[in-house]
Amino acid sequence: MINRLSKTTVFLMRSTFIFALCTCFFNALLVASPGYAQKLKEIKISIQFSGQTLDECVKQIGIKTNIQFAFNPEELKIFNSSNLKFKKTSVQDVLERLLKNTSLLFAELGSKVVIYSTTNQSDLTQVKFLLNPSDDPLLPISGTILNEKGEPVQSVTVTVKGTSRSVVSNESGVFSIEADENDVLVFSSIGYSLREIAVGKNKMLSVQLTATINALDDIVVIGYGSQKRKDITGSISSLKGETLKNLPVRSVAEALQGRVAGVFVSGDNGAPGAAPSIIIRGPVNTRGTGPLYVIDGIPFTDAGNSFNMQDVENIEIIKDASAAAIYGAAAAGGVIIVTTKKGKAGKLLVSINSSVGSRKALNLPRLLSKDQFITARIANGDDANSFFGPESGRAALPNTNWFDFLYRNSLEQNHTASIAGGNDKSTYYMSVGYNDQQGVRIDNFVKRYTIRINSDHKINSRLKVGQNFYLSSENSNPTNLSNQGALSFRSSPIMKVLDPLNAAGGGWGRTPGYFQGGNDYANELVNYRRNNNYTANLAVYGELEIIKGLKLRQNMALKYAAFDNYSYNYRYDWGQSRRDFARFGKGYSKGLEFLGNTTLNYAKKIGKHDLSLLAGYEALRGKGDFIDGYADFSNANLNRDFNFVSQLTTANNRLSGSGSDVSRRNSMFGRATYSYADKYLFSANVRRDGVATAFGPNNKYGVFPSVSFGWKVINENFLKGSNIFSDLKLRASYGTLGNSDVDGFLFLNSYNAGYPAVLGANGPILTSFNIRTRMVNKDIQWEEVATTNFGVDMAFLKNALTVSIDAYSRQTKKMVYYLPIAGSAGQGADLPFNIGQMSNKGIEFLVNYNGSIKKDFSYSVGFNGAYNTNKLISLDPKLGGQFFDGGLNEFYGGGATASKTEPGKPLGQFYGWVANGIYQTDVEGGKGPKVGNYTPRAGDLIYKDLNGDGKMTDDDRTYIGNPWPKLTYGINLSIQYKTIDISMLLTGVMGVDIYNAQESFNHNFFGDYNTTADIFKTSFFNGTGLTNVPRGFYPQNVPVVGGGDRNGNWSRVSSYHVQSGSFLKMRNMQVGYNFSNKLTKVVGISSARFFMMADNLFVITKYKGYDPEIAGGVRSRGIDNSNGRYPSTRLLAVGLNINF
Amino acid sequence: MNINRKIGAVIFVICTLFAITFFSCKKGVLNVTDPNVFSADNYPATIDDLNMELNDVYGRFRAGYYDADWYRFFALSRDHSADQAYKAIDFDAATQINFTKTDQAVAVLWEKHYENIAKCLNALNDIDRFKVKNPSMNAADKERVDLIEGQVRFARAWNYMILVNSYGETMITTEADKAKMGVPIIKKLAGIISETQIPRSSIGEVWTYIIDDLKASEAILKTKTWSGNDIARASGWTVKAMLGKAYIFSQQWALASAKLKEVIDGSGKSLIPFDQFKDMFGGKNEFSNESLFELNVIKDESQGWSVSDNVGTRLNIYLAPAVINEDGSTGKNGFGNYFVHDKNLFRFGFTGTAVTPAEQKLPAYLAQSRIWRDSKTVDPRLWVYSFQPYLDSLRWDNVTRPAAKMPGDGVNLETNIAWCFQKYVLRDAFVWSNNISIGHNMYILRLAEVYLLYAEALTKTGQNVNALEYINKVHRRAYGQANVDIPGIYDYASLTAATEAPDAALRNDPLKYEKWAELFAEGTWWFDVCRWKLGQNEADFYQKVATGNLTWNDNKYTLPIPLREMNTNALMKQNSGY
Repeated sequence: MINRLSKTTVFLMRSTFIFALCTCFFNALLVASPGYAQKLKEIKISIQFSGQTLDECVKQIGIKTNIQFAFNPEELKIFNSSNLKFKKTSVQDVLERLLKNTSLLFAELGSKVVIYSTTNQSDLTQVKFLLNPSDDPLLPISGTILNEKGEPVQSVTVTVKGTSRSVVSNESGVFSIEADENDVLVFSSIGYSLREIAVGKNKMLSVQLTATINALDDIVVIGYGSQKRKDITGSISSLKGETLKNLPVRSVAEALQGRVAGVFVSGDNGAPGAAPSIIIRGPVNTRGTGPLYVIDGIPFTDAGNSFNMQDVENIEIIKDASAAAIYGAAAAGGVIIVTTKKGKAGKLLVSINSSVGSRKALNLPRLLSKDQFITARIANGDDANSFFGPESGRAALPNTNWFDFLYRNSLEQNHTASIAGGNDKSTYYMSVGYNDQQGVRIDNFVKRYTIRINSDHKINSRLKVGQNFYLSSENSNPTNLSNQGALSFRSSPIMKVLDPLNAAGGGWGRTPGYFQGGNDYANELVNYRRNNNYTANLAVYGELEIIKGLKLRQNMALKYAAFDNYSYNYRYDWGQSRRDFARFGKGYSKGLEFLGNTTLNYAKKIGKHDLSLLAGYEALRGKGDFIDGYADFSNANLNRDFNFVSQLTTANNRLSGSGSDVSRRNSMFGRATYSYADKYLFSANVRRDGVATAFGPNNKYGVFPSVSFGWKVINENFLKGSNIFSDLKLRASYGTLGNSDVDGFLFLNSYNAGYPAVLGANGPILTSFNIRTRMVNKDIQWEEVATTNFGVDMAFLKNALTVSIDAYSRQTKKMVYYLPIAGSAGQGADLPFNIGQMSNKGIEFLVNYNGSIKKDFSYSVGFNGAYNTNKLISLDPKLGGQFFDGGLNEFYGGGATASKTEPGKPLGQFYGWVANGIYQTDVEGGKGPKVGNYTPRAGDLIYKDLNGDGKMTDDDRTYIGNPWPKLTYGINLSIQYKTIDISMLLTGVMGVDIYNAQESFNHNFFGDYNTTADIFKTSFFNGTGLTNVPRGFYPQNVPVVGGGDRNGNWSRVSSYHVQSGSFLKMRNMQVGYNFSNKLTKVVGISSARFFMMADNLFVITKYKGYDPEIAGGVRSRGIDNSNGRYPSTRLLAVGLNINF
Repeated sequence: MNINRKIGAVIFVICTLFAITFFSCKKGVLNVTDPNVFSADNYPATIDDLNMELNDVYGRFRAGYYDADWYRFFALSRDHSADQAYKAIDFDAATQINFTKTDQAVAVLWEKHYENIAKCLNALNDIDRFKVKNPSMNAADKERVDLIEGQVRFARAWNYMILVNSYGETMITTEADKAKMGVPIIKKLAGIISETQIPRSSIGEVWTYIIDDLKASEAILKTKTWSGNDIARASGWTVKAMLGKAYIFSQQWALASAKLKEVIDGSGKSLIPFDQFKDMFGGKNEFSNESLFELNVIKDESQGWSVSDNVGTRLNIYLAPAVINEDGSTGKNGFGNYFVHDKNLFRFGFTGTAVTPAEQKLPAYLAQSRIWRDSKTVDPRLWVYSFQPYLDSLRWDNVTRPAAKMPGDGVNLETNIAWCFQKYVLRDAFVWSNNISIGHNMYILRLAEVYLLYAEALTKTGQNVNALEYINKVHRRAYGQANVDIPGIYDYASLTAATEAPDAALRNDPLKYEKWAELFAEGTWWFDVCRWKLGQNEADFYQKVATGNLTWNDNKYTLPIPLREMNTNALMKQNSGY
């Protein structure tokens, strides 16, 4: 009968049989081990030793307890027991005591307890079994796996080479596997070099693994598959989840800051949940399209904040086109692949990571106090009576420092508890997380609860299934900033925050007569808001090995996101502003996205040829909706239920917003990798994407190919035995990627709601529809981004020093450019066209050194840096309006734009007048160019009249600064000394300009705003005379038209306000103390670490503003409008990591 | 065979098949439409759909010139109806008429009216498409469609009038002016970028285009009038009156006088009595017998500050009147800082000069004012259009609050009289307790203006006696004469009789004075200043605003073409001086 079955079936059956046996055995082992360990603790004996050799001692124990011991008598004979006496002591304790001060360890294995040496491994072949060594014919090959320090290594995968049989070592480093004499065992584990050992006649092996330093054998997750780091031909950076442990980061982008060369992350404010900007290898287009995130196989355009970073096992950042091309039209901004933790077969691991800390706002400005304010306002020529009333009453005016009320030191907590474990068939990882970040501004927080469940199951030797479930619930109280921004420069020191006399108005302080701003403190509190965000990401997969090497994998994923926002606006009256009705508002949304992909993967090695092929199909469809409603009512205590809104007939109530969103994508992709003799590597990717909402009917599908080559020079004969290199690999790649993140349906002409009309005297309100204010572009398509990358990976000093250098050129073509349209066309402001070209060229480098001084002092230093030059090359010359400008706040005059983007230049260059000192005399000023009708005077900025027409106009503007840094870098330091560990992350930028718009607020009154004491340093202010700071004050009798600041010293864009923004920040510093095992064992903990952490500890910079880390978009970057910025913060925290 | 594997394989295949079926629907995965809009392929399908487009065209009267944001700059600050107690660059540019090509106001005014025109154009296209698709409509349907067209054409003409008057190189004062640069005429909705490159038509061409539209509209609407829930629509008389105004602006005097006479005689409209007139700017007596076209708004704050989504106006916020609160402090009903420019008081004939609140509330001073008002030695319209501190009052929360002088808010108003506006403001409710927006209609065209336009046409065609009569009709009503059609004691004796105004241009020109006084702060005076070249006179008369002195140059007669337009339209040419 067997003959009639195919060979394959026979193999399958045989392997299944063996597999089943292994499974049985290991299940037994897994069950038995803890039980037996329990037994070792439970079985108590009374025994006495007096200097016998240890083998004799152990034999005695064996006889007394019936426990089977296995050991090499030669190893035990070396040692003699001391004089020991035990009374009703557990075997565990007896053995521990006995083997103390020896190089021997013991471990339970199957039904036996093995005693083995950690030093004298060669002699292990002499291990003999004490009792009936042959009593178990099925006894597999067993062994212990140790690292260089002699410590057991758990979770090592032990595979019988050429078969799918594998087991995993337990927490004592012990494994057991069915193998025969001719087999070769392969030992692999992350962080250790791969090792192969021929079994031979040995039944008991001791295996030493060497820790890898450059992690060349690490598995790198690439799109729809994985590769070994040493075989990578593209530019992929990896970041281990371990590095992010305990960091107070809430988003993937934030986690990457300073850690990966070429990934430029900047956060510009300290609001809880604020999203930093992330730019990989310079802006890919004028919109600054961000990277694609792929989390456990599910793509996200933004990973957002609702992700527990403590669940992260690994992050891969794909920067070039070779690997990213498998993601096609979504990948041009780079791809960030996040893999979350999985369980490992073996002991159940329970770990708890907790930290609690306090945040403090940094560099809050000091606004003028009452007395300063009165002095300064009068000196400014403002009408004192209308501001402060008669002089007699001024002493009684309040003196309020608003920041005392608006800012606080806030509490932050971050807790994650996880369990991970499994057996050889099933592994799992589960975690719960809680993150609570209170804002330093009052009435502001973000809390997040997360649950993750990941598991993988082998149904049989050919079929695997698994799942990743992630749920998060985020509850936040956003700030309610008035139009004066987070720093409340528009606040009045002579106004009370609270005023009991205004009980009817809510008890809020009332605005003084002159003041048109509000009560920022009250504004936060009367506008009650709670936002709830829910996300669920569910993915399941199945993988079937059809024949050896050919795998069919099916992934199904579902992404669900919803919000449920609630707001309640109380009635109030603070003078200038009053609301006599309460408003209740509620908004809901839901978005659902389905993703499915099927891949077929074939890998085959024939001699020196190693080939793998991948083909796949992927489809995505999604739909989202939102709806908002509100109700106004004059009775503040009415029911606040949403259903109630529809029942209110007397109040103003309505549905205020709704909308829908659809997404569809349809893709095919493939990959081939080939290597010859482990020297020459080749890889090609291609993807064909159709994006329903983004690509016009004339361009429904885009194709994105890439190729890459690698040369492992280290494996060439001429480098064999090299004293210099321990690794050397050259890489080259080229490929085309796409961007498809343009607005939806730009190719469709449509009608939407227009201006409602009323045609009766008192209503009704009539709906209207008319053609959409937008021109249609039927040819809209993806952007094409071609990247050429050259890289070299080098390692020296036995991999202690590694260096990687990448050089790239990334050319964006058919860039979507929102072409400004003539207003006279009446078709809106702009229309996207694929007409732009942009270039980014740069060099990145990464240097790591791992060193140690003596045995217990080790350290590592990493430095990564990137240099990028960006240039907008061209737009269609036939079209007008070939520039963008933008970026400043409304208080700036002259069109209020500080940034200009023009072909031939990098994006978002500062553009304005050139200021060249300060006029020292009125006579000098009289010779200078006029500003409008104003003739400059002493104390005014000297502007350069570039076109020489005698007056300063828009035509005299030129490029005055560059917001893009020449160098972005990060420095990682870690030190391990005995039980103490220290880690530091520093990030920095060099050669960058900031447009300091904030200093205008600090030196000058805008409208009814307050300012800082810097105003007293300005020229001719309050009798200062000429200083080195330009004037903002002009005497009333200056015979010119216009208000204050007539020369525009503080209100025109000029080079005076452009400052160097280079900085080096101590981003994060942690000092940890690891409790000794002895101590922790007492309380049943396997390891415990206490740490102290400082986030954003200090910054070294010459920049004069509050914080030189400034983001912004890609076209109006580096403009410091601190007045509107939530202040940056420093976190000091303590925490515990505990593993059970 | 291993049973596990069998089951596993079956499950796997089923899942795969399911997935493939699920994701590849027969229509094609990529075949979706935008769920938030109607596809242009099947819209408009009915006459109701066309009416929806007309609704948009009407709603858009709120966008552009009559949007409170821009109305305060172009209609109030520019002609010095208003002065302001606030320093800010864009505000100063408006009060001092120093508009620049980069000003947002200048750009939005341009862009909004062109957007309105594009919507009109699309509606007209759709009407044509609809007619082609439905060749055999019954008479009633045909009339409905035609009426839509008539109204759209009126709206389009009106939008062009704002544009050419605001951005045209000059007003037409001579035949040669007609050849000067007007504004682009958009005859086709641009489908590709090259179609957006439209040069400026000459001023003459623009007026011809406007007049053609109005004539076409007139041909449809004829003497159509509306009522009930349609009362705010443009009637046949609205169109005729606007056509008459267009003839005035294009100096076609004979046609103007004929058309305006047609309205005067045929519309059945009349000047409403002073008692009703004095309340018609505060939300009362809307769509009165005097009204020809109004910006129809109702109180609506449902969409916050959005002018496009709300059907109210928030002009009252900016024209916030100051009051004396119960506790004696000065408050405001809104947050604006606009007040009536002091010189306007003198132009209305007021001679009081009290500047401090203490002086302004002296009983003797108030008694004198009351005498002037009651005896009509001062033009009574002063107290219709503005609040005299302590003499007038506002009332809300059951408290009567004396009007107050506009507070300085940091700008020194110690030497200013600073009365607050009454026209269009909220005077019987507290703005913050009430909703930001109000439903006070604004007048786009009313019979008083028609009379004065007619009078102007008559003076140009040698009919001075008749012209004087129509000027006097307006004057008589303002002075409370019950029957405006009979001579009275307030009549001007001649076209050069003395007016209340002290300045050279208006002192002996009742037509100009009445045009100014009757339509004060109604958004028409500036265009008359431009037509009559009164710029220097006005600068001399008003002298200064609270934030600076006034100067004059003739560039100020027109606005700059916005920089955005200059940058995006290669065929665009800038007005001189910008």
